[in-house]
Amino acid sequence: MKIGIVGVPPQEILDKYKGNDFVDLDTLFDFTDNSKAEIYLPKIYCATIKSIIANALTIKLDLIIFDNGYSKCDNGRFVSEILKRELKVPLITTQNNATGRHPQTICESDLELRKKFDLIVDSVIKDVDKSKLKYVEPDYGFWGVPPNDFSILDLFPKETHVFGWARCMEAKVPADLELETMVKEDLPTVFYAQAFCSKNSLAKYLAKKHNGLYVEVDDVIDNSVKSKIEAYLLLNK
Amino acid sequence: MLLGDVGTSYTKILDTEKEEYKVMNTLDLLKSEVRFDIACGHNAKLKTDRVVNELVALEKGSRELIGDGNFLVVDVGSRDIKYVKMKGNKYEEMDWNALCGATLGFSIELLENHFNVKTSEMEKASQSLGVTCGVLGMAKIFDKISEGCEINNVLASFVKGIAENVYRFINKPESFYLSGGLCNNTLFINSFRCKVEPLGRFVLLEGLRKF
Repeated sequence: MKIGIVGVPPQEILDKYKGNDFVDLDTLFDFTDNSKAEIYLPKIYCATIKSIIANALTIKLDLIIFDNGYSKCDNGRFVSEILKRELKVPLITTQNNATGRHPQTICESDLELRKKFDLIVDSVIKDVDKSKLKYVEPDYGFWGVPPNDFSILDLFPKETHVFGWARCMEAKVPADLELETMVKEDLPTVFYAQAFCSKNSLAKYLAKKHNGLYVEVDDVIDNSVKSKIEAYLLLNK
Repeated sequence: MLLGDVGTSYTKILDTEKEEYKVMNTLDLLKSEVRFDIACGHNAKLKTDRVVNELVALEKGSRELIGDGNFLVVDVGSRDIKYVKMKGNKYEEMDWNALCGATLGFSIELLENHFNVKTSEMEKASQSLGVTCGVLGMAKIFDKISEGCEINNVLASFVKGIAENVYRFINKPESFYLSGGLCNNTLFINSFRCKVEPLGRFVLLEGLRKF
């Protein structure tokens, strides 16, 4: 079976379907055409949510497991309802309330930041070998969700730790607000949120509180945001 | 060395051997063969192999001109506003508005050319025109004129509106240093409700000297 997942569904549900072919619908694949989502969504909307709809409309799926509660986002709750009504694919909705934090080895490893995120996303749907990962002392932090456009991650050196919801993904506790809001004091951190995502409120608040840099990106990162992040990293060197 | 701050409308140039500064239209520069040893700015990569981040150049240049590491400096360009705040030589805060609501210097110049006036020679306005961005602000200007308001008053209100935007963008400080071409516009400087110390339009070039 080909199973589309959204968010971080509870481990017991994923275990039940172990051995099947999982695909993470939150991902911006090479073939993802976000404009496809506009038959159901407003043109101006969260790019990640658009990718979910576009992927669900494009990939031939046998089942969708949609973690759609406060462990994901309000947008996810509404969009799961749209998919349930519009697709002829069975859709299971879940709320992941797991509280047992797994180690966040990838988030603090010496991998390039993009590779960290690739592994974090992979870790939701398959077992990832973390035994060879080495801890790195951080120079910077990146707080947020996996961005729609991963090229933003290439701006950071490997001495960057991951915080925010991406960290909750690796810890397998997507509803853990305490972990989501945890940052390292005095570590220069970029607080990233996808445009039109309610997590912007947290990103802006935490950036102000911790002298960080708040950035909001819609769809694909532009040169202005790149320059802004580059300046922040250089000024905090 | 030839240093360049290649902005959207104007390019500021410093020949360090002759200690000579000049300003040229960026469109003319782009048509020319000029290449810089080091450059910053929106179009810099078209004219140099060594690009320096604008905000970093602004910070380094300001530190040199001000003489210490405690300052808030704002650069108001044709299409963007950026600021950096340093405390005890350490980073404190920054932001860079380069898209929505940011075509500010460009808007002022466009209006000056259209109405054939110099805003720098105008009296400060008592009221500001609510300006969310240069382009939307222009629509308001033409509305006010059609209502019979005097052109100079409307333009001065527009400039005050832009000053208010900048003031809010930098979190309403008691004073700040200003960088960029608008340092020569006394109306713009007087339209702020706090102390403004102009550093001139070559601040980023001073920063480039450090590379």
